[in-house]
Amino acid sequence: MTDEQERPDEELADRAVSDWLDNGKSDSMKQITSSQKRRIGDLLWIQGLLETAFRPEKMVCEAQIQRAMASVRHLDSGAVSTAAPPIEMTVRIRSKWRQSVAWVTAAVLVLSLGVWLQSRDPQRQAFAAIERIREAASVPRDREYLATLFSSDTNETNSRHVEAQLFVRGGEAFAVRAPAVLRPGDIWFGRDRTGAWFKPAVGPVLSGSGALVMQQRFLHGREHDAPFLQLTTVLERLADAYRVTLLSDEVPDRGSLTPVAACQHLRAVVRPLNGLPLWLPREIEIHAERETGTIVKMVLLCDPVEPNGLERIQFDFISQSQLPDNWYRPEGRQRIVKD
Amino acid sequence: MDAHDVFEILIRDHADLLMVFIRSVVRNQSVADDVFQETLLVAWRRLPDYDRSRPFGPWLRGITGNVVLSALRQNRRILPLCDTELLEHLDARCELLSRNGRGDTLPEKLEALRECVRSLPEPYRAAIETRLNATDDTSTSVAEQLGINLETLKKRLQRARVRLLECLQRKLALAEVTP
Repeated sequence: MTDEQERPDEELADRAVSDWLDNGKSDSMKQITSSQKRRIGDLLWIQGLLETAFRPEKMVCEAQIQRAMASVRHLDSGAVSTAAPPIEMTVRIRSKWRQSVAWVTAAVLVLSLGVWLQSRDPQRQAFAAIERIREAASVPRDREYLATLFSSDTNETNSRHVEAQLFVRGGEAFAVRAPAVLRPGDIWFGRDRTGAWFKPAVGPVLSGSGALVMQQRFLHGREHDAPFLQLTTVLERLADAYRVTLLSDEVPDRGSLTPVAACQHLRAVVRPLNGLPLWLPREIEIHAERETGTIVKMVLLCDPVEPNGLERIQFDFISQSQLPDNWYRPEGRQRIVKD
Repeated sequence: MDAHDVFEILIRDHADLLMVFIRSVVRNQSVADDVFQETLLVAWRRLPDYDRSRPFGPWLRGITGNVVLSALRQNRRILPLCDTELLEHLDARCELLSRNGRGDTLPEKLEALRECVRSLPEPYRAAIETRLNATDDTSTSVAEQLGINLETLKKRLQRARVRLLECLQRKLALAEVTP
C-alpha cells in the first residue's frame, strides 16, 4: 500500500504518533479505536527501537545498573529508614529535579550571596539596596524558604507546579527537600563546605567530596549549560549578567503565607546573553525587608529550554531559626525530621 | 554468587530491551531513566513472587508497565494514551524481538532496522536520521536544518516510521520462517 493509499483509520493513528513524537501534543489521541491504538503502539515501538539503534547513549549504561543494584542492596540492608553511610558514586538526580537543581543552586547564590546582583549598574540607590541584601544574606543564619517551581504546559490552561523546602545558611550551605517523582516520600539534596550529596526516596545517600557531584553530573550531561564550573567563574559571569533597577517599595503578594510589610523592590533584567550561560533567568524580581535586607520573596522568570520546562521559580521566606550543623550534611538527614 | 548477583545478571540480560519498551511510551530521557530504576527496585522486592517457569522479560516489563502507569498520573511526558491494552501490545512486540530467528540477539535485530533505514527514500532517511541526531526535544531545528517547513518534516517522519514498521515486520516475519 502506498503512502497515498493509507487507510483513514491508520492515517489518523500515524498522525497522532507524529503529533506526540514530533510536536509533544496528544490532542489527536482522543477517541481512538482499539485497532488504532495497536497501530500507535507499533509506531512507538519503532521509535523506541530507532533510538536504541541510533542513539546508544540513551540506552542503559553501566552506571545506571550499578546505581540500581546499589539501591537494591541498600533496600536489603534494612537501612531505608535509618541513616545510611554515603557512598561515592555518580549522582543521578530524579527527572524533574535535574533542571531544578541547577535553578535552585543558582538561586542559592542569590539568597546566600546576592552575588549576581553585584551589578555595575550606576544607580547608587539600587547598589546600596543590593549591598544591604548581600550583607544580610551572608550572615550564617539558617533561613527556610518555600520554593515553588512552575512548568510551562502547552496542553493545559493552568501551569503545573511543584513545591519544595529550601534551607540555606549564609553562603556556607544549603539543603533542599522535594517530593519524589515516582514514589511516596521525599528526596533531599544539598551541600556544605565538605561537598555535595543527594538522598533519594529509597536507597543510599550519594555523596562526593571536593567537587560538587550533582553539578558535575549536569555538566557531564550537557543538558543545560548550568553554573557548575568553578564557583568563581560563575560569580564573575553573574556580576556582569544583570541590569538592576530599584522600584518603589511595595507589599509582596505571598498568597496564603503570612503577610509582610512593604519591602524594597528590585528588578534585574538579564543583559544580552553573548557569552553568558543560557540557563540564566531572563528576569529576577526581589522583595527584601528594608530594615534587615532579608529577601522575603524572589521570582526567577526563565525561558523553558524544553516542552513543559521550568518557566518560573518562586522563593518565599518562611522563617529564620537555628538548625543543627548536620542539617546540611547527609548523615543528618534521617535522624532529624522536620514535619 | 548470591541472589543479588543473579538478579544483576538477569537485569543486564534484559536491560536494553526493557529500555526499548520504556522509550516507546516515555519521551523524556530523565523520566525514562527513573522508570528504569524504579522498575528494578520493585522487581527486586517482588522477586519471591516470580514464577521461575515463565520467562523473566515479560514479567519485568509487566512491572515496568505498572510503574509507567503510576508515573503517567504525575508526568505528561509519558504517552497520555498509555493503558494496559497498549502496554500489552508493546510487550508482545518486544517479545517478538526476544525470540530466536535470523538474528537471535537484539543488536542483530537493531542492525536489521538500520538496514531498513538505509533503504528508505532519501528525504525520509534524512528526516529520520536528522531527527534522531537532534540534541533538543523539538522538531523545529530539524526542519531548519533540512531546509523544509515543519509540516513537511512531520509528514516525512510519519511516512518514514510507517515504512520502517513494514520493513522490520517483513524482516522479523522472514526470520520466523527461516531455519
